[in-house]
Amino acid sequence: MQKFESEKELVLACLKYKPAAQRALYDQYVQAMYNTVYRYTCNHHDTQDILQNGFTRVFKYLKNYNDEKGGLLTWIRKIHIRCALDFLKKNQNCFENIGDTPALLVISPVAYENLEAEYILELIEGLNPRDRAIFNLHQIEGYSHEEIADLLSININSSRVYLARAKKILREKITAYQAQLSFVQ
Amino acid sequence: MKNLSDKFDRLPQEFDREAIWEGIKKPKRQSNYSFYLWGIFLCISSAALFFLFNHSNNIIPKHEEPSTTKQVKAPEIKTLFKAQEEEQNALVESSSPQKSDDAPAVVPSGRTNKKSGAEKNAIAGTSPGETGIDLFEKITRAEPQDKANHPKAHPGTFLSKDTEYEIEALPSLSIYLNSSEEKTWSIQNEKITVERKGTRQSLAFRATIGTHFSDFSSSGKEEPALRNDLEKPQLDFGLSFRYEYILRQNFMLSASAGYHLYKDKIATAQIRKSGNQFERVDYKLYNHYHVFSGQVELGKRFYQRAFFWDVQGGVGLKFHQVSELNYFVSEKELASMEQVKNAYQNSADVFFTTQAAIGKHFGNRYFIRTGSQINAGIDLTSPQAVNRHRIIPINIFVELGMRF
Repeated sequence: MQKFESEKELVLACLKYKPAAQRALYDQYVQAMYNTVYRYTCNHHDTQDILQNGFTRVFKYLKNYNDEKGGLLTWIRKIHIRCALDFLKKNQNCFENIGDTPALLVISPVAYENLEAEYILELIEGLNPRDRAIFNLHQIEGYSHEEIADLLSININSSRVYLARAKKILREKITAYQAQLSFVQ
Repeated sequence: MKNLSDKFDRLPQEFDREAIWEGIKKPKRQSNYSFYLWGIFLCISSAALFFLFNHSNNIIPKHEEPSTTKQVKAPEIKTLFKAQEEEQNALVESSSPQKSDDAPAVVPSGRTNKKSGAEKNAIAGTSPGETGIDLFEKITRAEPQDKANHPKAHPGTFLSKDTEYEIEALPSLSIYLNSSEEKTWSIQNEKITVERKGTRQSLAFRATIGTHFSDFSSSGKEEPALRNDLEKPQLDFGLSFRYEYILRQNFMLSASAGYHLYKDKIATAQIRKSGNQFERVDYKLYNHYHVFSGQVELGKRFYQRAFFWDVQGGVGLKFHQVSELNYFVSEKELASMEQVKNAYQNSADVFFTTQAAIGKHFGNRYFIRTGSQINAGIDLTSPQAVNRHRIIPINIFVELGMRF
């Protein structure tokens, strides 16, 4: 397989419609994108559909990619996240505005860093699609509530509530898991 | 958070890479579809011309030896031979010296009299026995007399005996060959004269397809507002009527009026900031220019055997009517409709035009012509301070016309 020295070279080759470059780009990023999209769908079949759509968009709009504004991985991930959110919206997982629920908003941070990725993924799978999407966007991708609100056409408070709800569920699960672990030990 | 994201990226999830890859629509090098359209257009035009060359009937009769050998059927030739042998035997038996000295009638151009003895005698009101033409010696005997009487004639035009017999099987051909060369020529000359006198004028309907160059230029000190590089021309279409008058020495004067639709596409993007988020907005905008034009041209026509060539040049006037306008003043700002429209909407251009075409007459009245045309214009109406926009079209056309 042809190797490309840099990201820029890879992009330029893809822009020249070189099949080897397109394949190289796909191989380089497909695993990360699969994992990213799977966090939103928790379904392998849907993830594959979204990846096909996502990479089609990547190749189509690659000419618009500007390396000064960010890395290629970030740009590709952004496209795939949008595809995943579009998919969720299409499948009647509409993100609704929720009124203030101050009790939910006061949640202490969860120490995810100490947990294994597989375990976190397992925990995320237990969330409902809306909570899961906002948890992913905020806690893993690093989007702000303003950006999430723009992306999902909801208000900022709703985003916060969704996140708080997800965190609460996760916290309960983690606590239960840790209790189970200590009991076993 | 980044660590968490990285952790997830490295998760070894199992999935069918190849199945996903197969489902991705990979962009391929886009072929220039306009190139193919042009190709198809040219192919159709060529096919039409080829068809016309092969199937149209010329007004002027051709001076060609009619091909006869292939048209005569074998049984007819055999019957002919039999009749001739019988006739010859009868002649030998009668052996009239007067008749044996008769020279056969010969067409001045060198064509021999193709009529059988029986036919010839029937025309002359005499019996075969009275004429007594020896068909086998007819050609050789006719040759010196033919040369002496008709300087145009030459021995090369004489037919072999076999061909002679075959030709004789066609009565209509015999009649044609009996007519004198002078008579044929005079008819032809008359036809040519009539044709030229009667068909000096023509009216044609033209369909064009092509593309154009857009040229924005600023005569003022300010930066060019309307950007050349954003506007990409697309295929243009046009319809026009054309009147032509053939002058002396095949010079011609023509006047035409028509409508053209020129289209441009602008494909670009803007980065907008809303809150903390940057949003990219892609634009695909289209500009449509409706152009009404009139032009006068002077040209020269060159006739070849089967077709004619035209070379023309002239001047014209065209009026732009803009139905849709979208422009970026800079890369970030989209100009308002009115701002741009004022620049050149309803503007008028004087243009110089030149065209080359090849055509073919078919029937007595109709002709088809195809060729290419290029125009270069000068904007007349835009104020000096405003950016000017010119369209320089290049197109190919197909024209159907009628002479009268």
